[in-house]
Amino acid sequence: MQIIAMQNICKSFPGTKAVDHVNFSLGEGEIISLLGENGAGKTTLMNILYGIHQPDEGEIYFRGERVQIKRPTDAIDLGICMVHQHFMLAPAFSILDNIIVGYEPKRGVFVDQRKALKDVQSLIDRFGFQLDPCTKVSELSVGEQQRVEILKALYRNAKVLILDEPTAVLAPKEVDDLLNMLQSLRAGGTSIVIITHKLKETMTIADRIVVLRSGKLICDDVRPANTNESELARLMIGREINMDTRRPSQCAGDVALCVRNLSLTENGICKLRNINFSIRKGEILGVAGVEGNGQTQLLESLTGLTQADAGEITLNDKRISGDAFSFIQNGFAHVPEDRTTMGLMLNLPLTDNAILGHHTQSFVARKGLLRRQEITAFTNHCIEKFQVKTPNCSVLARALSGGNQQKLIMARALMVESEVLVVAQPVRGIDVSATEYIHDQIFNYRDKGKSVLLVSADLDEVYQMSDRLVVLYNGEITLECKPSDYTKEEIGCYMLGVRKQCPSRNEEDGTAAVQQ
Amino acid sequence: MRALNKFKISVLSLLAALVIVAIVIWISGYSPIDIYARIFKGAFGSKMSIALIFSEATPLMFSGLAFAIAFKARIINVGVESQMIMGALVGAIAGAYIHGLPHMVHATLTLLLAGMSGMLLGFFICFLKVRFHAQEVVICIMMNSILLYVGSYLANGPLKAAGAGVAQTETIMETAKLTKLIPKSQLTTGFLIGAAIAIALAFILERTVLGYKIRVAGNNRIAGETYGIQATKLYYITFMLSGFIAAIGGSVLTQGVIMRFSDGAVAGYGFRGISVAALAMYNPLGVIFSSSLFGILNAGSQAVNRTTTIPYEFVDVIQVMVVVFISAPQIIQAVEKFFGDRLKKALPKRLTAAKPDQELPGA
Amino acid sequence: MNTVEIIISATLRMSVPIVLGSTAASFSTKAGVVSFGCEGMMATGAFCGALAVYYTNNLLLGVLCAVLGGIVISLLHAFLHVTNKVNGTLSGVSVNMLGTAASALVLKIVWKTAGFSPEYRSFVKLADGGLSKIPWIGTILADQNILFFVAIGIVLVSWLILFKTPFGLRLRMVGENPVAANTVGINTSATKYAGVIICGAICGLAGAYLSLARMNRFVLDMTGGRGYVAMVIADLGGANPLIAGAASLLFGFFDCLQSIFQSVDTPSQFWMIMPYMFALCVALVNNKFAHGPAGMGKHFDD
Repeated sequence: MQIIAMQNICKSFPGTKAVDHVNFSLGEGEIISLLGENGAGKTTLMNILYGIHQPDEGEIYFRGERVQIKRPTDAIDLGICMVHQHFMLAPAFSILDNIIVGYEPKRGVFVDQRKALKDVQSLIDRFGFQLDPCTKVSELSVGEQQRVEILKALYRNAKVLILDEPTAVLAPKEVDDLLNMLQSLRAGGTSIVIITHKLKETMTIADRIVVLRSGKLICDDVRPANTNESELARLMIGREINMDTRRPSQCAGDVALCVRNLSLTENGICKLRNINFSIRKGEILGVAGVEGNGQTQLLESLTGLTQADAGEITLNDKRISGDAFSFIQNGFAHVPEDRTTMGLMLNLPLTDNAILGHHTQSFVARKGLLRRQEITAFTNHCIEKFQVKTPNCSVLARALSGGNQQKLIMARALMVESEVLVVAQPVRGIDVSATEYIHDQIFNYRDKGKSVLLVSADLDEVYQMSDRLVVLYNGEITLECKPSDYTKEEIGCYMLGVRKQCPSRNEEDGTAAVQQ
Repeated sequence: MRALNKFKISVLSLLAALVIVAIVIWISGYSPIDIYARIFKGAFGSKMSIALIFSEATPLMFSGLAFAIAFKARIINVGVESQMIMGALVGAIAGAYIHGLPHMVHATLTLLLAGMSGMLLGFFICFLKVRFHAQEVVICIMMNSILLYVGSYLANGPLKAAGAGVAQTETIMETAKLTKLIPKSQLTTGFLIGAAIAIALAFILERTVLGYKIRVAGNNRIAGETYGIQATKLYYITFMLSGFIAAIGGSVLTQGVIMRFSDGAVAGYGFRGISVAALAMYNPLGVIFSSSLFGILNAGSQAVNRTTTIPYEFVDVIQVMVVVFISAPQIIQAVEKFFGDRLKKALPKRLTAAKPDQELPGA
Repeated sequence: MNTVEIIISATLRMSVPIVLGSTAASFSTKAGVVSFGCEGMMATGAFCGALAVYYTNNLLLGVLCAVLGGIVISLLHAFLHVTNKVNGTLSGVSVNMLGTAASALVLKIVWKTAGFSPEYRSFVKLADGGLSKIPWIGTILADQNILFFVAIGIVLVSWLILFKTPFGLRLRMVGENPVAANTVGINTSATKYAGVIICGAICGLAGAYLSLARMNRFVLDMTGGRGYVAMVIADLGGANPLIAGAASLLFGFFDCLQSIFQSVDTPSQFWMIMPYMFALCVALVNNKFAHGPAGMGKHFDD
């Protein structure tokens, strides 16, 4: 008996079709694993079910009846609860307060504290959560916080529980606890949807597997008994390999950038473990991996925004350290992962944005005075060369579309011909033609003998752009290879932690011999 | 926002403020048209009243500039009041007790000493803000009251002029006084000094690396730090600059108008400077004009006050409403759209063809 | 009364506006809205109350008008900051400036003076119906007027509302994490408005105390920075009305030092600075002790 049926759901955001004619159903007491890569549409689909987004087309049925879910409260009233990837908790509140807020038991005008405590405690005991309701959420581990989120749903008599990437932030032991708990919930009649890209957990817990790719439904009737992880990876990532858009480097030179034993711990959690790699002149090194496996920390260490705890970074045998300014002075150009927060001043004109990071360059300023003509010329040159669509160079950055903003940021980074380009998510949210153009420019830059570190959550992009690539999983490099050595699906396995390479290094030229 | 759009919002905000206050005037039983006409006549009625416009504008210009430059770095320096008091005090002391200097030297030295005292105060406030992660507005407000009482104490006590009946210090020496531009008026070279500072600030902001960094820190601190521009250092520089300018403004009051420091002399100029800066959309050159505009309102309303029983406090309300509207330009834009749409329907098509290069103004 | 009793009584009397102000600020702060407009809300309350009593000679009406005045001007702050997403500090400063300007205007138009209004009826000490017979604190209590007791009541009720009712829980949730509050179905904008309006109402009452109880006339700038002090003290206590109320007493103590030491041979300004120095030090150490709600200044659709 189907508790949820979603038919023909479509949802578009400016520039992308996030969900494309997807049918989804969930049975009573069933656990579904909703699989897909970043941007496949799985979270958007569930956000529609939970009332955060409204579908452009399509209907939702609850126990056979058509329903309209316009806001989360509608979903909660039906018994549909969602646990988001970023927890919706107030750290300063106790567990109890976080659970009951918005759904409080009342005694007159006051909150019935005693009843709340009793009800929550009995839920905790029933499912063996091992939590003290009076503890502050800020004192809990991530796994415990997640349990609080699940308790929130149970407290509201959830019949359908949606979990968005629940194991992304958990340690292995906590993952086991979670899976056990989900099984007992299922036994109690709760239907569960787990949005994930983790294959191992999918195989362990799911009754049925639904795979989305690029907003489309690929299959929805796979069962763990009839499949394996490699097959799932193939379904998620797809078989097409666009070899024709690749542009391998013609002549890579000496090693330019060398990173040795880089390690970083944040808030007690190890984010980077012994990172070792090098990039030659005229080479693009791609960093593949699902977001959240240490990419941000790697980027910050390589651009001076964070100091690593251990290890060293050298460029042409010169040790580089210090703050962002120091890295820029030493030849690092940076295209940040979040262009509006980290890359642009939206309310300043393009001329001001074009020289960000270049204010010590001689063409920008002399003796503390800005050289307006040269700056305007530079900006116009950037606009022209990178085909930034804008009426002139003095409009505000805010007026540009996302693609053109990104082109400007790339132009700014590439035009000064630094030794190393560190670029993250270069074409996120960018339309197809701008994407192609930006990629072209990166290739041109590399062909001048520069080194490029390209970090992207899009495996297609890494595969297509890189001369060599590494895979980052859980803060470690689990694979280092040339794209032609492996198929995309195989690389996908490394990204998802299914496989891990045991490298033996050849110190002289920095390549790794692959052992299986 | 584009320059033209900013100007439009500025003008419309002033108009909106005038309309709102007109309503208040009308409710209080006076005729708004009558009052505004009198203000205008009072301001431009004679040579002396025109001089009054610019002499009223002078302290407003300094405090407006001080607030505007700080705001460029997203710092809200409501401590301009305290810095002006500091400057007025130091100016009075340096003006009265340093002997034997020729005019130009003495006057300039006094101004500079006052400026430096304001700079130190600005540095101190910024230090407290950075070191203790406290909000600058709270620190500044407390500093305003503290400086007010310190000044009051000094004027009533140790520095009190011999034989004076009220709380004031010794008169400054002739050599410290600023030259009057129009004899027998209160208009002095202070106005020109202020205008010069405005031009200098505009130059710094648009033409120098320092000004660029200030604008970056004020616009998107994170993007700046991603590319090596440290916001903290800039906060210090901006606060010191702001304090310097405010203090010179205070000293200009001492050296040009009051000729001494008296208890409560500087009252209110600090906050009015916020209105001046807002109306100018925080543009230093614009401050010259907006301060003159408020100078017209002040001068005119003083004339009105002399000849009628109508209170000049209306002007204060106008100034506040300007700040309200400038801080939320969306309101003005909504109103503009509301009337603009109706206007478009009424006018023939030829006159309302859309201009091709207009883009949306940012917040 | 002996000296100690005089001091305590004066402290209590001086503290009332701050106690009320910090309680008011608590509501705003807990809802995640900067409570910068308190000064203007107090000033508005003060002259609204003064106006009402001047014309009607009815103290209750005066108090009601003061509360209403505070609410009306708080709506401006809410409209600018919550609905139009203006920087909270800027909108608060605007509200404060408006309060001051409006006060000056009212003084001129109604009473035709620039400094202070003529006297009118005001709250006086409670009739000594037996209060003074209470041991230890009796004489002190009898020295207060009714608004003092109202203030205590408000502090207690506020604490109950904030920490014991569903409304208070939701208000605090909006302050902690408006995005999360939104996902459990709480209307964050409406809740923030409620926080600001309650703040305006209580600040209005504080203003009424200033113009109707502490003095019997309306004086320009009679709030004298108390709104900001109240805000700072509320932050110190983590926006908890009980703690803030206690800290306010300390400020009141500093405030009344000035009148106590009048006869002693130190300049009066020295004592007048003390309360602001105290508040400044409080502002500086605030960050170490208590943190405001995590969602301060954030909106649910950021």
